[in-house]
Amino acid sequence: MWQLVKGELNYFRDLFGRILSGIILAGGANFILPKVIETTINPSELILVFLSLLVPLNIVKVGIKERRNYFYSLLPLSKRQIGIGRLCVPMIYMVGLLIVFSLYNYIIYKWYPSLPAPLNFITIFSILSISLFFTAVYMVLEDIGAFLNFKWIDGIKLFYMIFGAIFYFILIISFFEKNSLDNKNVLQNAMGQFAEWLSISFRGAACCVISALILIVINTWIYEKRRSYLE
Amino acid sequence: MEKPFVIKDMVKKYPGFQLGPLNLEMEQGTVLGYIGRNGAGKSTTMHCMVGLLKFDQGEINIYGKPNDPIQNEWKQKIGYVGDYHVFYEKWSAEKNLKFKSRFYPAWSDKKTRELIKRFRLPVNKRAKDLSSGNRVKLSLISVLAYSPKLLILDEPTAGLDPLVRDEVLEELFEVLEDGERAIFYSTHILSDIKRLVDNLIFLDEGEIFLETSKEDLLEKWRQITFHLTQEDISLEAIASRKKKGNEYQVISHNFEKTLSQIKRLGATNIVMNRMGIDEISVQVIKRGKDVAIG
Repeated sequence: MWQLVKGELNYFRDLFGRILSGIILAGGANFILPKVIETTINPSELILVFLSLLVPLNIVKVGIKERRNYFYSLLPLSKRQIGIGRLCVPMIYMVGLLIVFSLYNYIIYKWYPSLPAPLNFITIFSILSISLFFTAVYMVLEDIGAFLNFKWIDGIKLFYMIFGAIFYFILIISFFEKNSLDNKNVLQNAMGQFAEWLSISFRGAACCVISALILIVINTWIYEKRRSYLE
Repeated sequence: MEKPFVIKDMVKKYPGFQLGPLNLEMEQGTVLGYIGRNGAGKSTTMHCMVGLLKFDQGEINIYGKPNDPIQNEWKQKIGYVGDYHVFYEKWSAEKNLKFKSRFYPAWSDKKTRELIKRFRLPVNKRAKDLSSGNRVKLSLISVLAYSPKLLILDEPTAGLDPLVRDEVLEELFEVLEDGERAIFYSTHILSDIKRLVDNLIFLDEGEIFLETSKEDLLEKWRQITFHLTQEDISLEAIASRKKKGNEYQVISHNFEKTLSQIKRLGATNIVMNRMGIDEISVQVIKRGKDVAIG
């Protein structure tokens, strides 16, 4: 199984470059953006949101295009090993992002304390945990579709992608505006409170990660039960 | 000796199509040809065997072990080249082979180099830039390099030019030389059957309708021409017949039966010709279950 993980990491190593560029961009944006426009949004936060989505979406996209389930199934590995192995790369990238972004924020604000409010570890953890949860639900939907041979699953996945993405962005925007909840409508208020709960309490983000991990474990089990690995 | 595979009462259902119940097995050191029209269920059978599809009923054993998705030992013993060739597309052919080599203790780098040379595969090209023929070659090399005991090949020569097809078939002959390997071979290129297979299985609409040896088919099938004045005769064991005046040309799937009947009827100028296995197979596929009896 480790050979599979090593291979996948090697194959997706161009993501390292994109993440590095993103972090450099985040550094630059922190210095430039506040001078150009007046904003309460932390540019680092925006870039982290972008990067946290880039990793799983890129892996999922390549997986579909190159028929990765077909490819994996022909390797002399059990379906359980494949189910676990295929999740290792996005997980490694997410954990990598968490560490690198936390270190980056720690270092940059230690040197330049005058920059916009630093991202704390919990905020970074929260953004990544929602991305992880978002991806985990998509993977569960995908494997349930192949398990039950359910013909409506493509429509449900598309619905989830569109509305899930909208929900995700509203939630993230609520992160940025969590201090001005008073003038919002009911939905925004609820989203804001949810975002606040996620972003200011370690417990909230941890719940999100644990839910995602539970989904991933369930998904590994569902992966074994799929009826087809042809795509 | 353990049989390469045994399929017992396997059923795979799709809306509007059912494969099986299939009962199939093969002997070590032989080549079993799996023949049928498009959509007969050949690829589906192979997909079920290698674990790409889950079947609904029955069991499949590979060298005495069920092809359980939770286990992986059985996969070391098989090599599958399917109808679709999957790689890490951004990697070179060489890097793809290197990656696969890590999974197989029996992988031979020497053999890999020989095959690359023999098939003239441009190993430095990225997989996505390879032509369809070269993708087939890369798939074949990645399987032949670890010398699996059972090769499952789903139309492996499709998309190859005649020269390379010859080389592939030559290589497959060599695989069989030690008598310890088996090849389960599905194809619609019937000239491949002539050279390679020992036994044949014919499939139509998800059901096996004929299971026979190549020798048996060659022994029983004949093209017979004869002269007969009698009109409106019903001939036995006939796959096809043409009549021009009193001259008949028939293809018989049991020539002894047909011959004795036409002799009884008083036929003259009887000429019998042996048929090639590819010609016979075309007739079997065309006529289906009608020729399986007798």
